[in-house]
Amino acid sequence: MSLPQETGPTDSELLDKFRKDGDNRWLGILLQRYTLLLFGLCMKYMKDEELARDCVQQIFFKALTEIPKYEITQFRSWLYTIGRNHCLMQLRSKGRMTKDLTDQLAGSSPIEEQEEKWLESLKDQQIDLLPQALETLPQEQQICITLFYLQRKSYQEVIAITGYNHMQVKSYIQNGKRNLRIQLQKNLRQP
Amino acid sequence: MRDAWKNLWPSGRVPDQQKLIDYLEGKLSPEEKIEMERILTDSPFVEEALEGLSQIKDRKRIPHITDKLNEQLRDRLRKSKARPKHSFPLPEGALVNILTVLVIILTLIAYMIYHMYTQR
Repeated sequence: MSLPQETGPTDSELLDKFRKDGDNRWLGILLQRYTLLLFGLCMKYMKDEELARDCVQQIFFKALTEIPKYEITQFRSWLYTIGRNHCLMQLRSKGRMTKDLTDQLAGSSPIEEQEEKWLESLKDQQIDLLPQALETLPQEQQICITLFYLQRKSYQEVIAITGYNHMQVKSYIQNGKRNLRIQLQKNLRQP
Repeated sequence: MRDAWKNLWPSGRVPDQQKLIDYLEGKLSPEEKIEMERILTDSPFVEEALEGLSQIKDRKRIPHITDKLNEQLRDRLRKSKARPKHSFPLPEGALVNILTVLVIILTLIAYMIYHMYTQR
């Protein structure tokens, strides 16, 4: 069993250790943290357990080859991108690529990484600008962001309170968060 | 209230394997479920992985599958040799600079020798 991330070194620390001594053991610890997520990701696209297992092995191999070549700052997002692209390429080579998946491959971007970097860079005093930015969002997004993040309600509770369906709640939260970032960046640029 | 805004920050953590399986089986406490939903909303990786894992009907097999995959990974790592450690790691582009300086020095030496002989 791999080390859970919350108790062991961070992903960045493991990458640093590998860069210092070149010992593959660090990469083993790092990649084993993501075995389950990669297997789940591959299952989503391949829809077959055997194919998914093979894909995970191939992604591990690709990661082991690529990691020494790049300066990776957000390992999880990086691995997600190469894992997802690998699955999409496999589907394409097997002629099982739908129009929707083709669009996904063409438009793949590490959204997760952008969000994480932006939020980590927010300084403490800038948190005070968030309520003002929230007020500029459409009402549905304001309500869902407030209930989900500020009042820590579950999806089911948000659905019960608002009457929106699951897909709507998810979309309002994700779009709301993105719009909040855009609005805050606009506010920060103003003198 | 100010601290509540920090809930917007992605946790950045990889969820524990058992927690993910328990979430799929609806076994998490209300507080743990909210935390997992926050991770899912912030991370498309975790969200897509859960979508794929939900296709495995016998969830008890999932730890065996990941154990087997980890074992294969460890085998691969054991077989591959460790990268040789550099005693003096060079920064990117340093080799080109060193070679350029060496070429200049050698050219100067060659010029001085040539000059010395032609003076005679």
